[in-house]
Amino acid sequence: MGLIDGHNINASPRSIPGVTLTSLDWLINVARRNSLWPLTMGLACCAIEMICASAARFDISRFGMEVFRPSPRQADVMIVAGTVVYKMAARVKRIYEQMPEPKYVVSMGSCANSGGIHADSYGTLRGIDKILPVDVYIPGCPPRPEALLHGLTTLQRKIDRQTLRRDAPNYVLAGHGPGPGKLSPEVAVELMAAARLGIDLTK
Amino acid sequence: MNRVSAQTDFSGVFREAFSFEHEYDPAAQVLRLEAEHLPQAFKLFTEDSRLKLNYLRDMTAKEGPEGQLFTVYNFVSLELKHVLMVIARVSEDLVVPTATSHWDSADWMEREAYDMFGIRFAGHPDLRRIYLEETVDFYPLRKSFKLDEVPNVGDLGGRERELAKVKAKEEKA
Repeated sequence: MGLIDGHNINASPRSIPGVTLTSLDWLINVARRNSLWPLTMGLACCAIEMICASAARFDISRFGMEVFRPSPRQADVMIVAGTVVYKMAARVKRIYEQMPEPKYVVSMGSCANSGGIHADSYGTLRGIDKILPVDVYIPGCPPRPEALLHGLTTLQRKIDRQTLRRDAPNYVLAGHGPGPGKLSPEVAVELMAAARLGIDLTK
Repeated sequence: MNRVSAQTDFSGVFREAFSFEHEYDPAAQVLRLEAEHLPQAFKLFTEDSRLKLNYLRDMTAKEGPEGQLFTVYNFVSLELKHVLMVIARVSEDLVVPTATSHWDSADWMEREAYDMFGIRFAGHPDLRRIYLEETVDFYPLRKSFKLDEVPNVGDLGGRERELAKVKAKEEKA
């Protein structure tokens, strides 16, 4: 797929100057993947590498991601950079729910992936994927900025495969709202607090 | 900071001011007392012209080998350039008078001691857990704390979907 400019198809008598033909999927995916705005959210030392990736040496703006947004309502991708303790997990969940669709989550570093060196602790959530749907995992403790950039370009390749066809498994459409498997952040946080006390509210 | 050579001996000050039992080591600058006598000591620390301990540098708690709890205070006098460590033995009911009435810096440090050891500070303006969530019922730095008994949160996304299904069924019915 790609752009077909009317000017260049001289062979076709039906070509109209100034008209561009392409597929809608391709156009929307290009727009989405080249303007991934991350949320300014660092939880621990991985955030230092994330800051480093956004600075001049590694220059995240080459991939259209330099616009770190301080508000979840303007962000497209949440980079969970660091250890997530239970107290923060409730807040991370709330911030995720405040982001508009389509939204992506990158789990950066061992702590966000599985709890890392803090896994055997009384306060650490063992992996952010227990509360959020994660698109890309980046291993490392902490991952170098190159690893973060590779993770984000992996996310871009994933976005390239999205489609607007409603029946397709990789269907993604902005603004389709929470699916049937979604709860309000308040209820989800309550559920987590209960799980901490060993109570399963689903039973 | 050079602790020993710049120090003054407060033995006389404490002997004349404290009618209760206390233990003072001038070489190490450590004062040991019972926690119930702390308000009297705090008053002396701030008001006596020979002490003038106007800055609470650090406040924490510790547990002895037999399970008795202590609160530890590190005071500095920014004016007279001396320091003092106070170790207070906590009574059985785990209630200690607050230091926030004299030093504002005690606020969060006492919340941390409450969070980690379960020591309650009488008169504290906002005694809540500072690191852990309000809902948990353990004090992790106690020797009696068992890490194995802390429940691990499983796949919350799965539970969320289950609960959403139950709610959807209830709405249909």
